[in-house]
Amino acid sequence: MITGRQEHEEMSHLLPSYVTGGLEPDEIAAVKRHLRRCVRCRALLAEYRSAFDAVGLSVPLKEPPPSLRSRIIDSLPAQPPYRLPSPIRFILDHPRAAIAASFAVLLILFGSIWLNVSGISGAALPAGNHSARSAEDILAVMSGTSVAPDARAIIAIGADETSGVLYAFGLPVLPAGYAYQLWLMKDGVRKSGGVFRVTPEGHAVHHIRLPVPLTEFPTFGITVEPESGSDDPTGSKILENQAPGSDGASQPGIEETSGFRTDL
Amino acid sequence: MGKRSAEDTILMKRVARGEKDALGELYDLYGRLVYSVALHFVRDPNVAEEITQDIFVTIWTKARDYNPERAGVSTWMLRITRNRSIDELRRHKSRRDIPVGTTMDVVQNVNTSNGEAEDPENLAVREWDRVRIVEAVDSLPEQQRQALRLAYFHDLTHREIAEELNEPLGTVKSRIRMGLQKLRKMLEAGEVTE
Repeated sequence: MITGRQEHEEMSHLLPSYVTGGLEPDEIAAVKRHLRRCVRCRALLAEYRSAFDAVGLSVPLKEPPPSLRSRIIDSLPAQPPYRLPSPIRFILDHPRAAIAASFAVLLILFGSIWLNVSGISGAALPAGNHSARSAEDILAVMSGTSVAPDARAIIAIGADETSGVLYAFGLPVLPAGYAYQLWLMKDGVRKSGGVFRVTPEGHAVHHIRLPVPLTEFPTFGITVEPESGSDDPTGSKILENQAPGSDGASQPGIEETSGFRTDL
Repeated sequence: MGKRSAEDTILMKRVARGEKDALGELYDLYGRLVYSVALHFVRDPNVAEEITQDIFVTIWTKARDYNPERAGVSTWMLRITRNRSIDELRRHKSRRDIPVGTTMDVVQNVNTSNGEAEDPENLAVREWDRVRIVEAVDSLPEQQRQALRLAYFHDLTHREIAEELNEPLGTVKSRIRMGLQKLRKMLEAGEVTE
């Protein structure tokens, strides 16, 4: 009888041949079965594939004709119509309904948080009290920069104002090793609001907790950083908000004091 | 390569939104690689140009399907270039006579490339990574490198490679396995895989 360990050793031994097309059909089927349940072999397979790619990457580089670039750009066909992810499509098609629904969800959510924090049972409270929180709970509305113009986010705060939730949509999915990092800024001072990743659809719900009230910060930004987070922003800025009182023009001083990069 | 990889992903997002300038930037970064790999397969500059054009048009139309968690942009482009080139070779049933590149070929070509469009820091990191990859491949024993190149550029099975080299099948399998294991370890140590 073959043990799991024996099977793993046998199958991992076959991976180089699997990658280079050197196995018989029955061996390929056995490797595929093993890969479905072996995380280590899946990681090893990715490494062998990269090693095989290196054979291709090692070719001597030759310059294509200078005219090829413009020929390619000139020959590009129209892209197929873009289907937005369904939540964004709904928001764009029904903006009023989407805003109303968002506030209703937030009111219920934060009403529940407030009730839990207060130790009050929802059942013991009149239904009308669930709407005690107001639109002031929305601390910031963030828009995508030129790097990711489809991105949108809002930050809502909890009852104690030192915690909040970021809801983000339309963010690019980042490669392994990278994450988004939220920054809160006031008078040129930055604080990290934590790092987060997004779903394959580009959505995220990120919880924020700071030792000081979030309401102290007028400016927020989100950048691409290594997944462990950075002490200061180092990657491209993806989202930003308009500080209260702003006329919608870019905020003077933010680029200089925050260290954000908008270029690629 | 990590920073480049993250920025490539954002570039792909812009391509997916229909920005032709972004595709132009992608071409500036990888057009030479795509063309060179295609040329290495088909040995005909006109066909290599045709393949390069097909690859970038494919990227333009399929950019929304790109998943960065499966492969980096350069890896994805390399793999679709290989597949497209193999299809071309199969159409013409010509899978022989592939030349062998050396590190010096690459270094000389890197040094004479224009590359103005890219951040100098990114360019230096990317090309240093590339030199290390070429050195890793070149450092393999000749027989292992030859067997791997026949598998990669000719898309031959191990049995076909054994026939081509007039060697026992077991010998060819060992060479390929040992060569790929060495490459994996060398690339892992240098952290140049994407």
